[in-house]
Amino acid sequence: MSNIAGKAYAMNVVTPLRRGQMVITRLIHWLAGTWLFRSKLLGLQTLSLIHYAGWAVLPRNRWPRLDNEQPREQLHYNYYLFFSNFNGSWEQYVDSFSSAIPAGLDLMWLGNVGYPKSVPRNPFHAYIEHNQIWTDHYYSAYPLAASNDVKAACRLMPDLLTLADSAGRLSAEEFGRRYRGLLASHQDDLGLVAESPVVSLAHKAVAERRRREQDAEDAQ
Amino acid sequence: MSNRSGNARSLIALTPIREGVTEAGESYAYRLRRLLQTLPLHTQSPFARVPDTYLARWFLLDDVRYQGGPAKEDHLENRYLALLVQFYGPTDRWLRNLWQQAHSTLEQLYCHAWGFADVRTAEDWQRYLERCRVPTGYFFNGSNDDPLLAQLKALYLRQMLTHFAIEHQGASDEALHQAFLQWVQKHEPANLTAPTWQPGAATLAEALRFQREQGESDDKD
Repeated sequence: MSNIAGKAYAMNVVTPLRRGQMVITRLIHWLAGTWLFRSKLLGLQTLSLIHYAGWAVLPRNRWPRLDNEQPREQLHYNYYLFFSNFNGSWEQYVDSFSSAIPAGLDLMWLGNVGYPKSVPRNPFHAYIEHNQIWTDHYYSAYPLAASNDVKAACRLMPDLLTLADSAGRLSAEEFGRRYRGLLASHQDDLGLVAESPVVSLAHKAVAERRRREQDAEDAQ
Repeated sequence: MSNRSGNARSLIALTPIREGVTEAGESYAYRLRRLLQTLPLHTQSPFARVPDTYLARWFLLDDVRYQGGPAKEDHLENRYLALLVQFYGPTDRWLRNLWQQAHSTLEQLYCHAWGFADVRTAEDWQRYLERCRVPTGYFFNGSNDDPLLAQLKALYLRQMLTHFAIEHQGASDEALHQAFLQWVQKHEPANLTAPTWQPGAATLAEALRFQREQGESDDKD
């Protein structure tokens, strides 16, 4: 079981949604992408620790049923699935979430049974913890990189390609001027990534055991 | 409802698992969880072979949680294997690639799922997963939605340029110019496929080993 892949943490939260709430929730999801609700969710953009996140509704009578013999679900509530991929620890993320977009969170979880609101934080922590489902297999294409690293690298790329393409045709003096200009204009985007810090001793122990196993395999 | 944000897509699929016990005496759910938890990680993960996969996960949803009184108590009649993926490009292409790159793993994982017995081809698999699909209501992209190869090359070049900048502080324009031309020749900024970082590389040593292997293979060619 691992919620962690390098610097990314996978969160899954499944919560019951009141029956009459589904249409409103779907409307909120639709409006979330428009300017009307942008101010409520603007904080999401400033939460630069998130790679991707999402919300989905599971209607109580429309869970996937693939065979007539498959038992039919008999639920009182519709259900709500939240997923996220973020950098940092669980506490950092949940705290940042409730600090940055308390109104946005309350809107997204509106009508969820037992939802305590995002502030104060202790009941919110308890709610997320109680409803979190642990990930069994988690993969990140870039475990070495945080979301900010990916964004910074992609911002740097076009200007770097331009300089690399033109470098052979420039005088040394002109190249020096453009090179220093590139570093100055992208100083926020430069940086070195390294392996993720230890976020839990248990995870560290697992990583070390796997590394030993890999070394033993390589040695054979 | 939105399964996409820019060029990034979100896929959520919940596949119901049958109740039963294997010949070895394991329940299907126990076996499935054991298989999931022992799948190879990082560069060896089945997802690492599927082009344009940013992040992906599997988890077993055993049941829903009771919220305490006065809420009503719900329990699921089935367990579900949840597949959640964020990737670049069309969903049908990603699903076909998953089958092509990892069908033996999929067969191991989904063999006790309802309805999977008829899945034989990539097209069957795509249709099957579509039946398990749950639409994403709101999908937030806090990262970048370039193709994965472009992201990995950008990360590689950023690392290499930062090293270059540190090593050449205070150099004359002449020396800088010559060194940068060599840097371009070595790192081939416009070539997305090499040298670059391996999808799923969890350590710099692993990323660098991949570059060396690529270099050796290029030399052989």
